[in-house]
Amino acid sequence: MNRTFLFLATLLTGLVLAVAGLFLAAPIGPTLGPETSSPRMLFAPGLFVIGITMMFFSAVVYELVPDRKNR
Amino acid sequence: MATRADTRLPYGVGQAGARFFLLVAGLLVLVGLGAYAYTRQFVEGEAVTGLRDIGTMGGAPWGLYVAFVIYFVGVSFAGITVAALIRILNLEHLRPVSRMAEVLTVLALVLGAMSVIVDLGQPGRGIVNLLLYARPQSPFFGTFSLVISGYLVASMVYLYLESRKDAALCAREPGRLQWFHRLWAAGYKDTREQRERHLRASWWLSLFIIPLLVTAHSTLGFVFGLQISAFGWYGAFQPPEFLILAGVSGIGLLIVIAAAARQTLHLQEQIPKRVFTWLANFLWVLLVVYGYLMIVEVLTAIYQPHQNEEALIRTLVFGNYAWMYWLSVGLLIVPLVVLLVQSVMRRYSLPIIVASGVFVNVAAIIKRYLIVVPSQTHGRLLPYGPGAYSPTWVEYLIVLGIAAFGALAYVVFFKVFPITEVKESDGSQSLWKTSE
Repeated sequence: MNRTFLFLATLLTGLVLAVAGLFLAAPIGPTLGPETSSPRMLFAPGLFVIGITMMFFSAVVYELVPDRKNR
Repeated sequence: MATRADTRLPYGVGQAGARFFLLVAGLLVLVGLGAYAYTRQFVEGEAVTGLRDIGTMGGAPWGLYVAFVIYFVGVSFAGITVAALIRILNLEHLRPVSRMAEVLTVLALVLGAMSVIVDLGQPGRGIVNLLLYARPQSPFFGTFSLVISGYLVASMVYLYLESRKDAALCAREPGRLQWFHRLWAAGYKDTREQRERHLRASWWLSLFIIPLLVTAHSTLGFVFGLQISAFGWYGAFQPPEFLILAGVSGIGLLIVIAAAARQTLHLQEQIPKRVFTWLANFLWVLLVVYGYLMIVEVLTAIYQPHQNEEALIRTLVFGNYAWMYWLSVGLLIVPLVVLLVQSVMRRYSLPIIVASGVFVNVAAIIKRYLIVVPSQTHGRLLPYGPGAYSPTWVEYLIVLGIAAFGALAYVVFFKVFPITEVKESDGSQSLWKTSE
């Protein structure tokens, strides 16, 4: 696996987790009952946080992982 | 204390004298007192604080801790903003304070998170429930996820990547810290390819960090600005006011820290006076914008106020909180005037710039307190009389302990890592000659 692949994989996984976390959390809109105030999936906000963290961490992957040709 | 090799490291890294140990001992005492106070609060509950419910208990559930959450998160604004602006706008003359600013951001965010934790009666429950149940439409979600996760991680990543070159330089000097610098450098050799890659990465990071920090600081403003039942909080100006005052306090503190480092480490050459003049000019511009927002907010509030809002304004301007209100206004106006005069006359005095940095930070702490407390004790749409809030010794000691922890981490970090970018002319740095 080369650097570009690892970097893109980290970035996109983070993006997918962040977007999924946002949509699996409680729906945006008026609170009409438990179904509109509880998350669609437990720990969805945690997924969002992990996703955002991974997206920024991809910069470290981009800089630190050596290219295959330079190994 | 330092080995011969350590003394070759730049800017006092690896060298510690009696003054340093005295400072560390003093800060450790304050941290210990804060920890003791927190154990009292943790064991006995928040009954040992001055925090009480609104209405029936006639108090304020948000007090000193929340005021310092906003202050610390505000201070973090300057660091990463300056660092990002240096990269995007190519403000090379600010580069000497870039690292100080980045570390200030990271530590201020950690202190902000600590202030949130001490404010929670059950911190473990609070953190777990946020990860499990937080609602995206709540401003707390943005504050928690963007400030703590996104903003803190982004700042740490930025600091780490920006510092690898200096870590690699320091790692070439044998000594007790070599392993640490080697670990930090993680194979950095300053090749052309690594430099180009780093420039690309840091440029993109800067580009994403700026909108992130504007959003993060705004969500903190929304925590207050969206509460329709609280006069003094509800309003569209809270997010921009939070953002601008964050800039004011952060730039002010950066000026103070840079001046202290310049004086104690004899960095007059590395941190020239024009760095301070630029920061001073930026500071008065921010003060003008903040003053404008404050005036517009007050004029709007007093035009046709609800009776509760009128009572709140009277309390702020003429009542219990008047001395704090006018003190904070004075501490904002004086720096604005002197910095503006300096800018017009084009004659800058470093002591005056540093004093302005101190003044605006004292003002910012008072303003944060005045934003948080009076609206709870006097500005509610509830059928109760005015409340009161006085912090107890527990709260003062905990906040002091948190601030001391930040100062301790800051001074210790710069005993193991260069406080500013290492230049080729700084002695031990003919180091890249063998790298390419």
